[in-house]
Amino acid sequence: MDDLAAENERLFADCANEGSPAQAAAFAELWPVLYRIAYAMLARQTDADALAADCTQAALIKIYRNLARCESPARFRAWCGQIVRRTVIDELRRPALARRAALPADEAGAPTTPPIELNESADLRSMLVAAIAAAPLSERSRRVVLGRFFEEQVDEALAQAESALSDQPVLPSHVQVTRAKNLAKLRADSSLVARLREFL
Amino acid sequence: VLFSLFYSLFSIFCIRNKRMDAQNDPQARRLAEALVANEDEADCLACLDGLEAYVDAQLAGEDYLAQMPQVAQHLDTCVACAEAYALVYEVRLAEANLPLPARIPPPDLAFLRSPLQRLQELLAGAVEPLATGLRLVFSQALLAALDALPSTAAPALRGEFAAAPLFELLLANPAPAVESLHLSLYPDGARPGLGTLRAQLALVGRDWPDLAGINIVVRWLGAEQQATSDEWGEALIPGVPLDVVAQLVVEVITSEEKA
Repeated sequence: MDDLAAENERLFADCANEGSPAQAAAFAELWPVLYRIAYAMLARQTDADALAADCTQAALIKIYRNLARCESPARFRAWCGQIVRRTVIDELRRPALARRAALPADEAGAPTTPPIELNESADLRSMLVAAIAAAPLSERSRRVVLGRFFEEQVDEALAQAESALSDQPVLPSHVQVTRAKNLAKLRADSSLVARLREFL
Repeated sequence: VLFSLFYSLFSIFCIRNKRMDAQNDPQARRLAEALVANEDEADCLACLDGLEAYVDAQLAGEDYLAQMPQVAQHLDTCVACAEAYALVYEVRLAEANLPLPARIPPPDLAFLRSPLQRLQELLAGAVEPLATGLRLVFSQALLAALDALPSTAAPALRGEFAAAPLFELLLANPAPAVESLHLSLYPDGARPGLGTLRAQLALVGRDWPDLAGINIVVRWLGAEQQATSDEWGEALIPGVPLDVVAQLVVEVITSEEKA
């Protein structure tokens, strides 16, 4: 067993040592590690400090209550990291807050346009290509949609290509979000969706 | 009528042709499916549940699209989940170099149970009131909880035992007729590995010298020892093996009707 796994198992055992001083020390040890994760995810929120504290506290309690569900104490810190990340995601998705993760500039908010004119007799691929070409999408948006679906490229490859084109670092996650937003724009055209349903 | 029939047949023919076209072009079909997908909250939750494994596979350079096609498709059809994915991916990517907040507030560890709360919870499950008295079932967890309590210096037992007790347990109102039961276990200096259990009872409505004759039965792994209290409500049960303390069952029989 390597040192990291042994250290994880020690921390897990201390966290599970109900009512002992070691348990309190172990949770206090976890706190800054988890807080940094939450803070990094929430850094773009206006109230990042308070939100990070709330999410980390909620995650700590979830960890305490679900210790028995940790299947691999040797990966205890990774398991705790998953819990705090999910807690942050759930917090950001709460409808009351309707918080929106701040991401790099993209084409969100572009004005909607009238339905795209499509050739009635077009095959599926031609129709999709025509719809993408006519939709109010940037060149990058078109590339990440076509690249994934028609060229079967993974987001790592698409991100690398976009980084080279823009001379700025583009992550695979940026590519994914851009594609999701642009597919949502295409989906907003109900006549296009109705036409597509005939093919499926 | 003929025209309607012809039109219907033509429509069916066209739709059939379109579906065959989609079958023959899986790339276009996948994109079309992503555009017509009607995903709901359950799909979002399933996607979020798979997100960590998806990012794990992605960061490990595995074929994550083939491994988790449902997650991949959902991320293309749901902007909120795609944004959640981006947060997870980016924080995992930067794991070793996360920003250091200017100040990390202290945690509130009030949710942890204190050693005393823990002991009380365990005792609630370990003490069973009986028609004739009460039964106390020891366990490893109960001993650990006792061990976690701050130690208090205990007086030696009537001068016969030099060592401090291995544990002391005071139960308040453990059964309707029992006001308190104080149990302590002392190591037997003359016989290593054995100990003497001391039970001190206070009963409701009974006082010295009316506390004599109460039966204390101690069982462990098929063995049994009994003792009867003196007029002060105290009984000593010698010969208890120290390595079976976690398996001890102590019964206090206070009423005439014996168990």
